[in-house]
Amino acid sequence: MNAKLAVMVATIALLILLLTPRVAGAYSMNCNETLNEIQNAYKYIAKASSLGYNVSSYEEMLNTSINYYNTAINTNNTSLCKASLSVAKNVSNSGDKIVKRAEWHHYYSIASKLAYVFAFSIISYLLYRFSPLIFWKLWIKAHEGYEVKEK
Amino acid sequence: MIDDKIKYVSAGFFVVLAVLFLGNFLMGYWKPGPYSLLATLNENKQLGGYPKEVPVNSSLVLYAYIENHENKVELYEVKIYIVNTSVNVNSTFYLHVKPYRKFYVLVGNGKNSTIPFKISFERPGNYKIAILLFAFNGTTFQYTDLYNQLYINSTVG
Repeated sequence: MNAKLAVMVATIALLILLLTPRVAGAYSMNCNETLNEIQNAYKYIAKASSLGYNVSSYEEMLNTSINYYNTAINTNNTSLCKASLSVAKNVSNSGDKIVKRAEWHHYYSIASKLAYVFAFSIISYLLYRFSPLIFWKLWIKAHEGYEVKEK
Repeated sequence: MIDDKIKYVSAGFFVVLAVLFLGNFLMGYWKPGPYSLLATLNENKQLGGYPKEVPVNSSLVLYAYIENHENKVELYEVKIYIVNTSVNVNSTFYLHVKPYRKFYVLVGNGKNSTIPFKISFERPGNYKIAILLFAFNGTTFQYTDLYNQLYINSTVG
């Protein structure tokens, strides 16, 4: 009976010994994963931002995740770590979409600037070419009915 | 001839307009930087007026103020160290000392962030609080060479 009890106690002790490091490691692994996810989400935001796209809403979202992460690592709070991971994943999952939008915005911005310069040049040329004509036409219209008197 | 005068005046007007337009266009591309800024603020969120003495086991609240002019969004890591006053805070300092606290923040270009942190001392003595700023470069957090340090005397009672 005592031998059986000793075996049982030894088995439980062995199980505790085997499980304890895994449980302890699970927290840090989960939190490391969170930091990796934050860095991953940041890469998308940085790329979109470098293309001149307004990323403030995504910045705000990722900062929420970072705030959770900061509290989690300073208070050893696993649930906050998971919450942080979840928010960071949301940003990462829409990362490709953000970058595509940013690229489209970038090309549109270049095209609109070129169109602006082109339109400005055309209008400048047209004004240069036709403004004297328009001026004199208006002058003649304004002086319609005038009589030239000899002195 | 009056016709020529109008031509010259209108041409001059468009030259001035073109210069103004070009200047305005280029000004949109001019940005200060790239640089980051790190400052430590006291408990009233002001520069200077830092406490010199803090009782043992009581907490001291300070703020890390970060400004981003890197022309892109930056992910920063702020590490707080409590070290002996004899320790020299140089460019390799952080490699040998474990941080007391660390936290992260995402700061948009041209924006700033203020992060509070608490510090308490378990034993009396003279300490140096070093605040170091790191920026994520795509693979790792790289030291920006920006740091602040405060000398604090932790007293009994």
